[in-house]
Amino acid sequence: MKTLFVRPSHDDVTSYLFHYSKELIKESELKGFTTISKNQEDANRNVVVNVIEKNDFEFIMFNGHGNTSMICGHNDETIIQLGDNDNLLKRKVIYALSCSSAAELGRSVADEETTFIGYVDDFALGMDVYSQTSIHRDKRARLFLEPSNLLVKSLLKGNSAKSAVDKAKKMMKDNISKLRTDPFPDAKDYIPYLFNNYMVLEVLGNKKARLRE
Amino acid sequence: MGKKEEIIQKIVLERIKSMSPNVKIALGSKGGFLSKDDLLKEVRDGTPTGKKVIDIQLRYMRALKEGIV
Repeated sequence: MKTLFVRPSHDDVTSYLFHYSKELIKESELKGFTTISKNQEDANRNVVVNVIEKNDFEFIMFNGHGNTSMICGHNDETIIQLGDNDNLLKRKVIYALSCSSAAELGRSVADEETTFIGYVDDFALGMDVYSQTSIHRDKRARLFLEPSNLLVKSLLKGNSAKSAVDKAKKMMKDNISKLRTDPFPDAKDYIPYLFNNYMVLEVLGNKKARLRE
Repeated sequence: MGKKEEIIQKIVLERIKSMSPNVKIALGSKGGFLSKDDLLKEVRDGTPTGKKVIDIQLRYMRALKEGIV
């Protein structure tokens, strides 16, 4: 059983996603999946399309920018485009940490054999200005990205797609509660943006899909 | 811009003005983080990002009123 992680890192946001998804690759390997990660410059259309065509991946996670009809990679190159090569996503579990791609692309590919987990509108990310040079210490970004990591870990454990999304949403709500009681003055200002992620995360297609079946 | 939209824009601008100067938010396909001043400019100028910020703030205020969050 194989998993693929697509991890560009060419600007501030993709650098955060790149850093926080490192642990998911380890987790995937620990769970016994044959794990491939296409990183930074390798997260381009040629490389990623080629590796998907040559392997039967059970799960693919895309980090990167996007819009309602596409998922992008390194330097915002389009990797998956609705109506062009979206068939590459069929019969898999897909998680796109990519703005808005669930809205049209996800809805289009999702079916009884295909699960698309993603965001139907913009994904928001907060950061702590005091952690700019050390991403791993950023206590604000962590509140936005840990639910996303929990979602993937939950899938790798064998939980259903719906259960993984439910767990991520519960963590988002818990993190909102943490921000409410956080004594620092910036804390409350992140809440509407984390609530946005809670509202726009969706699981489409086969919600009962599990890896390892 | 209609009267209602103008009022909503003013409310959101006031909310952003009350934010801590340390807050930084990334939104959409912009690769960088926006400061408080950037958010104010986006909303004032009525850019797509500014409109998104208004949507996010409005949705949150509605959820607060309805006790969802």
